[in-house]
Amino acid sequence: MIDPIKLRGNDRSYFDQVVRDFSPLIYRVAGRYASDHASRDDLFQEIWMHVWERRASFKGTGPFAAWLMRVGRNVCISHIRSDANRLRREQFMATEPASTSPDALVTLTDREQLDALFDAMLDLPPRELEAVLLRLDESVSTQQAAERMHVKPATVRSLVRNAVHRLAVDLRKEE
Amino acid sequence: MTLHPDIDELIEHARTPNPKFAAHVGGCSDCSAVLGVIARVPATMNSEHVEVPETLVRSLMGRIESQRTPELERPSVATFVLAALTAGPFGLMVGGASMGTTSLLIVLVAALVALLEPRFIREG
Repeated sequence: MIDPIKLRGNDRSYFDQVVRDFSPLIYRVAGRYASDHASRDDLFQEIWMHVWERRASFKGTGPFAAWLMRVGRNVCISHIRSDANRLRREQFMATEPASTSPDALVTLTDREQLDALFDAMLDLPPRELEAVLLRLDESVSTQQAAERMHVKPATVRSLVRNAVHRLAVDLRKEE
Repeated sequence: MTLHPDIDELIEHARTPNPKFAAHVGGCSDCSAVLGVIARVPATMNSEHVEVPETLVRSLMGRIESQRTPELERPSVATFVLAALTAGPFGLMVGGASMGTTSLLIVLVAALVALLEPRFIREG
């Protein structure tokens, strides 16, 4: 778990470790919005620079991954809007797979479904994404998630229910 | 008609199949879809299959390093004591007792501010 106080500080080794641990996630986010490999690398660095500059805004109430995904998505969207390279991105997405290496454990179809789900998760409202990652990825109980997010357990249930239904609908559209 | 399990029950069912819900979930497309999402989210977040080029990470760390604010050093207490001891008599010589006291107080206040928050001194 990421300590927001240590993250805010100037501890080089701590932030370096955070970069090492979460770079694959950021690389995936960048890959979903990039128009080519060079653009993905640029986005990757741009996202991390934003994270470095705005690290004080991570309060530690939700999962760090959710905060990173939100920052990453915002940086990428702003980049796409300013760069006007939407067309190039579409051409790239049509010709190249987003992942960098094949995963021996899952079939291509599984990988595509996971990528589609990842895309849909990037579009979830921030609180829903936090609740989903706490309950489903970090496997904490509803009560614990409510304490972390400073809300009532019923709110967590509602956030997770809405998010999961939204994701299920998005996945059906993909199929 | 069986009621849909609530979201907590479905999450539990995805981890440990519960015979109580198995028949309903099997025949309900909504619950099956939700269960599919619940089961896939952890795998979706798994980034082990993604390899980030080491050169890219190193280049990033170089950029961050160049932006990193150097650790701010707090000025030593001795520096300010010395400054106060110099400023006090100097002010006394130049402008008399009131100026000497004022000089001393100014240095002491500056010392307090600098010790509590060195950025005031460094960053203005």
